[in-house]
Amino acid sequence: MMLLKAFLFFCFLSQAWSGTSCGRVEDFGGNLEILDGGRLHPQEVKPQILLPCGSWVSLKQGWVRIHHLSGAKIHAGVDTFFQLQASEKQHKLVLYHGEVFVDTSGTESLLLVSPQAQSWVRQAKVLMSVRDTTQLIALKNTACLENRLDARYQVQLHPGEFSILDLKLLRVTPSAPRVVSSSDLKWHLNLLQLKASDQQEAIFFSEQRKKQVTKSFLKNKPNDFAEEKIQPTRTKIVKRSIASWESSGWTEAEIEKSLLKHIAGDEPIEGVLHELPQKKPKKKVTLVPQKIKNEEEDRLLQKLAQLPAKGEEPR
Amino acid sequence: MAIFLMLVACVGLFKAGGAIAWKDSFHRLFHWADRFQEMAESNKLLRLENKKLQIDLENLKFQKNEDWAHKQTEKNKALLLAQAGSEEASTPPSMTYEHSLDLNSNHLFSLGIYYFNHREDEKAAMALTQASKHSEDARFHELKYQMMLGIAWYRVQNYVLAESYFDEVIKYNDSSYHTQAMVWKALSAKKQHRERKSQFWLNALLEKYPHALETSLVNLKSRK
Repeated sequence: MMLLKAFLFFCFLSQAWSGTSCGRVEDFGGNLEILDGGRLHPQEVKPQILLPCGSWVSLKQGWVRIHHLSGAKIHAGVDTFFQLQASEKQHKLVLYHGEVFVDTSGTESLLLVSPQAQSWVRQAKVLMSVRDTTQLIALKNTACLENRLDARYQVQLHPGEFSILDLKLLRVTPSAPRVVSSSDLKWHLNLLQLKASDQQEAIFFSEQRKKQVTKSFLKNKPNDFAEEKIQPTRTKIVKRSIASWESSGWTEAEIEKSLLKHIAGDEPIEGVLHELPQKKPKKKVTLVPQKIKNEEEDRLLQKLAQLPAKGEEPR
Repeated sequence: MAIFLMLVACVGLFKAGGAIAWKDSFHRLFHWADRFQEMAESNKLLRLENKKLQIDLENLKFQKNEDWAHKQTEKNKALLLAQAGSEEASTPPSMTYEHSLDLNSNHLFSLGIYYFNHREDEKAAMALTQASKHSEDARFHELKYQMMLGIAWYRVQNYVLAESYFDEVIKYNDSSYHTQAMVWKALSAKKQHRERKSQFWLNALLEKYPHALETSLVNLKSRK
């Protein structure tokens, strides 16, 4: 009997998940509305309700926690509207506006999409906010934000960093990663009404990132900036040739690096400079005192003997 | 609500009295019940319609934003290519980095060098530019720092601005940074797919400084 019950339960679950279901509402608070992809009827909202693929989730006030089909945990906050999509190749969350926190630790990757940008979240925790611009904050492990219309333009973020894609500014790439400020992060976390443990973890990572910056800044005093100047080395040109990138045998990046060695001495050089012609060290010349011949020595001693001693009058 | 109205109707029936009145009252009661049911159905339909409209509106907004982003990306690409020599370039107005107002030029310069060495390129470019702009200190206008500024802008792919700084260095023939500026100019031209210009600078470098270290970087034979 028990086995039969378990089998029936398993059948129900597998049907629910393998069918059109894309996620499950774990918990929520406030004014949550869900409409399925077929737009046939508004679903009655209650905890543990299954969300069909393609369904829209609208949240004017409050919060909702969803367990996605991929295993990811999604937490949405105030004034958020998003759609869950899934196919064999990828799981997708289309964020129309608002903000979501996504945790894909130990699960499959999830693609977050906004009108301008997108981000693949793999084994990471991120916070995406879509208003006029798209902002991504990495909270655990690295994440990438890229221009959705041209994926060449992407920026990698480390925990505690954020990037914004604002096309109103004259740019097509997301802004360079910057450390997220505590006040900004807390404001986002409050909007989302995240679990206390997740909030603490997010703040911990942002603090860690800040400490890294401060430490490295204090460690490397700006005055350490290399003062060395180029001493042109004379090298023999065996045969005159035309300078070209091809003939150099090095890539542009390697040339840039080796040039930087002379501008900023702190730049790491990997296997470039050792190939450069080294200046041969000059032979050291040591002065050896010459030995004076014996005859001359005797003559000098005789002269010295003839000299008057101190206090004596000269003869 | 329905129960309350039924009670009201019942009270009305009792007050009215008589068979005709009872019949009439029941008739009215069922009529109202039907009306309520219709209204409830209508309300449900309206709510559904409202949802549909909301989704349509959100979809339209999303589509509009997507189209705008597409157009803006193309427009920005073209503008950046013309203004900075690269589609992915960062320009001073597009950088959101703002330094503290309390920092003077020296602080900014130190920060700039820190960012420069730690490859925080946008910040380095902004901080160094701000420092050299707002200070008349001769230190900040030395060739070495002009080179740094050029490299910082080169790194954020703003080749036009970078070349302007390299040109400043190239003006001074005898400087030790002259050769370097020439190679950076060649690199910058190469990044902009201007092969002829790039080759011009390489040839100029070889002509002028055949024994220089920088020449050996781009001329394999001079290294032998």
